[in-house]
Amino acid sequence: MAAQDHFRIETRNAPDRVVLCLHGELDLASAPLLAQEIENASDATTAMVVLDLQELRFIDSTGLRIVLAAHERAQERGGEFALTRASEQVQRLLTITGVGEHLRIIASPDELLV
Amino acid sequence: MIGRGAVGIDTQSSASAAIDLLVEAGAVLATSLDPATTMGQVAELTVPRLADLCVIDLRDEDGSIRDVAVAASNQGIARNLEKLRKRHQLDPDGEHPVARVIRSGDPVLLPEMTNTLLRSFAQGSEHAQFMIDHGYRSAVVAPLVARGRTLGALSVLRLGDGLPYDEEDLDLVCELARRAALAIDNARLFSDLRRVELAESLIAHTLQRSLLPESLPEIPGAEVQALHAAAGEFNEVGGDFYDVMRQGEKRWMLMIGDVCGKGPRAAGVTALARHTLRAVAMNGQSPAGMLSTLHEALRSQPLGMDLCTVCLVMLERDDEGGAMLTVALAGHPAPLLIDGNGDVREIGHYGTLLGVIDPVKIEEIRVRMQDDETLLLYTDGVSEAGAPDRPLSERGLRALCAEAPGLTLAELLEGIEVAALARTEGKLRDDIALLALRCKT
Repeated sequence: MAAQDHFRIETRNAPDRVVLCLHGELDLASAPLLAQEIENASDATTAMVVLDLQELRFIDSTGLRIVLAAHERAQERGGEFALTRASEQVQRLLTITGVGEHLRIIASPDELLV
Repeated sequence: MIGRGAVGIDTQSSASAAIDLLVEAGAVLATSLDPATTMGQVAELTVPRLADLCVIDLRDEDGSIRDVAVAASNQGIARNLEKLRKRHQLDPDGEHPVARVIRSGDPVLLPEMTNTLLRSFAQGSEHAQFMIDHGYRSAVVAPLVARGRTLGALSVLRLGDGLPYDEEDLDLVCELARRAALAIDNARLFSDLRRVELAESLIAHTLQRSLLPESLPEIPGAEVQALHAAAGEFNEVGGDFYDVMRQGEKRWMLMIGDVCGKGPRAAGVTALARHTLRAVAMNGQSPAGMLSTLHEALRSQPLGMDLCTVCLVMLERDDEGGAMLTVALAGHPAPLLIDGNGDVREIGHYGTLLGVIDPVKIEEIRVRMQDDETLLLYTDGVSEAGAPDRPLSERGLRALCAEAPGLTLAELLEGIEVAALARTEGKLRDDIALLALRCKT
């Protein structure tokens, strides 16, 4: 199955942030798509990158690595990085791996960061 | 006019014979992927219609010239020539037409060879006598050129009172040589490719085996059982690992882990993780300390971002029966402890996965394990088998574990594997690894 059949990204540019809304399954096959999209989003001068995970059904460790890399990259640029709450499976992985505690999690993609 | 007509017919028939030869050669060359066999067949094709003797020489990597195929209308000549060539190899820098053609890449036509000419390029008097005795008369030597490289030469010869070769024959032999060279080149590429494939598959297989213990050590008063099933093809190396090792008189370390990704890179990280943990375990470090050391080792990797989750359980036997467990988790699901009634509980505090986030937060927890209890360590390939549509899930895994008291460890692990495979319709998306322990009563 081609990666785009089970994974899709919608990119939305807001004045203060880029929101990447992830749909479907983020795994070994689809992780490169997200890596590319984050690369593109980071080229923009926007201060904040938000990964909206509400529509993400599945994530594995390869996907998690891309998310962590995006966070690291944002920090290096001095920008903000946040995730929205996700499905039970995704949330569970974030909890078990300690990644949820490490990253900023917001209730909605447009929530203002203080 | 009549004379011209006769020549025309003759030319026509020799042209169609040439086409026949090239068509037949094409068929031979298209089907064979073994260079030696192919050259033998090409040489045979030329005899007797184009030549009384045909020799194919190839240049070796060290520059020496080696005959790979000899065909002759007289079998005795072919055998004797092969023997002679063994005794007197052609000098790559010498005057022999084959050596000259291989050096220059240009064909040579020798319509009439006199004894003086034969002597001038012979590799010694025995070789000269051989050529004179067998009546070497006329020859064409064409280079075997593929992708700009001269691989060798194709020689056709007429003996005794055979017709001298002409320019047309030269063209035909050159065309045949060109096709043969392509076939040799393809066959060589194919065999190189095949070698690389075999080597890669062997490396992957060897790595995979080396990353999992061949057998688990005996723990006095306890029984241990492991199971590993890899996702994907045989030559894809997965990132799950497990191990059990002795740390002291009555102390043992159980470990299970999962390295992100697949393939050689993941295998390298898996090897690093497993060997680092083994080494620090021998130093008598606590589970949390071992995980911190592994984190540092991963962080110091030049390419960075190698992540890994690990569950460590230190088991200390004492005289009261049962054992004391010290559990430390780094981004890994907590192990399950199943009591004699089939009640299942998670033991351990979730800690940070290793290799990316600084600092890691890892907390040890100590739990007493009774003699009738079963301990299960697993990787998330088990609970996430079938995700996202119908995952086995932790709930499903716990339900299977509730049956543990009535099962042997082997039965328990097999049951879990079967259930995981059933969720994925037999095709695992991720490796699964299971490690179980039970104290003997």
